[in-house]
Amino acid sequence: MATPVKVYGPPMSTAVSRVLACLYEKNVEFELISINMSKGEHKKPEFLKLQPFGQVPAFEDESISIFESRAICRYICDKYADKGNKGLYGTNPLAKASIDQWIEAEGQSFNPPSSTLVFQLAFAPRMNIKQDKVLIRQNEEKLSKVLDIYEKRLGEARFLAGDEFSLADLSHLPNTQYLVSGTDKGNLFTSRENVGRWWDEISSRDSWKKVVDLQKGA
Amino acid sequence: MAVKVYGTVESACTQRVIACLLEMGVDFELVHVDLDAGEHKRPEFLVRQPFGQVPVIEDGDFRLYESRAIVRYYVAKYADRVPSLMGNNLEERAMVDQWLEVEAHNFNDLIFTLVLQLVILPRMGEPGDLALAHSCEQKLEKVLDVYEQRLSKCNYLAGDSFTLADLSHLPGIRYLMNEANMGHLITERKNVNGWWQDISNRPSWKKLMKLAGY
Repeated sequence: MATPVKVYGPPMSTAVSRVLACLYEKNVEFELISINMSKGEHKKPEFLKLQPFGQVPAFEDESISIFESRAICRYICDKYADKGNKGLYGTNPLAKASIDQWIEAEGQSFNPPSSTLVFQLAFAPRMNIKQDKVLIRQNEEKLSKVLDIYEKRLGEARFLAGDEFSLADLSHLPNTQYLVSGTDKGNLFTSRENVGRWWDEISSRDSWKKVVDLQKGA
Repeated sequence: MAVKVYGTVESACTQRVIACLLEMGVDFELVHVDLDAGEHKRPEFLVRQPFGQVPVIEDGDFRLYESRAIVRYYVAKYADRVPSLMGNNLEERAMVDQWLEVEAHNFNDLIFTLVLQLVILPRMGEPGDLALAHSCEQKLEKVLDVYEQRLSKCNYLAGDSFTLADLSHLPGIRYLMNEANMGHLITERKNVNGWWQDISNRPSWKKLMKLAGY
């Protein structure tokens, strides 16, 4: 029996939860080693050996140590290609390219405004940091423009990269979960017919429900 | 049939794709998109790339955008040509992916903001935010310290061979060294500087520099 892989980081971190969602989709057993970021554990020498930029998550299995959530997800899909959801990263080069395109769109166009909103609206209050109203408004506008593009795309295809749920959709789960369930900006998603339909479908997956449970329990 | 690359030879993201195609010996045709005239925001272009950005490629009926997705696709497609650009096995591939993501999320944003504030806005007659530029410079110092440490252990970011991870940095560092006038960030670090000298002297990059008229 294989040793469970190790994931370092708190489950409430969006990047950590991206990796956990992937592990659940692929039925890969893991051990979650929580890192106390409020105590600065991620900036201490022992953690910096695993992740020299002092960010979460970090990942380890018997062969390798990796960081960057989207790189970890790709590795998991490659290494465990025959486990769990076999089509998660595509089963042919063209499908894979389309998935990569939308993972990049998530990383470059969706993530910046959505993660700023997540920080300002969900985390800053908990950390007693003053919210920046101008930044919130600017990023809400940016995110709205991005979601208009998604609305059109999701009118053409069931999921971002095509007809099947993929790593590209999965990559969007963490930030969207916070915005829809933890802030008053959920309407950005739910007021758009196709985006709303897509969100309902991807967030109802068993794998994501397990991640949300983990986050609640932490 | 040559791959059509819609973009401009000065755009960092278009350069990333062209550098890769040149490395792989893939025939391509650069179709110039007039960014100054707003061509990338017009309906005809948005059909190709709905975010209104360059580059986008057309390879027969196949269309793809996002430069880092494009380079991954071609490196996999022509893996027999330059097999090590994406690593030779699963673990090497993971390292290439890891440093590609570092470039995309820890490096690119800082360079982009620097160039926007110090070069692009002033060119458009608007004041750049110098405090923001300075803050980016400080953050970049810390990021490059990590690169310095990494490159003391191996010749290239993902290991001992040149890969997509190194290639992905070429356009941004070129901007840093030239228009943004921040070359000291590179030259002050022995290993980073040695690495930059090596990767920027590759024939494919030099060919691109000539194409771009630099």
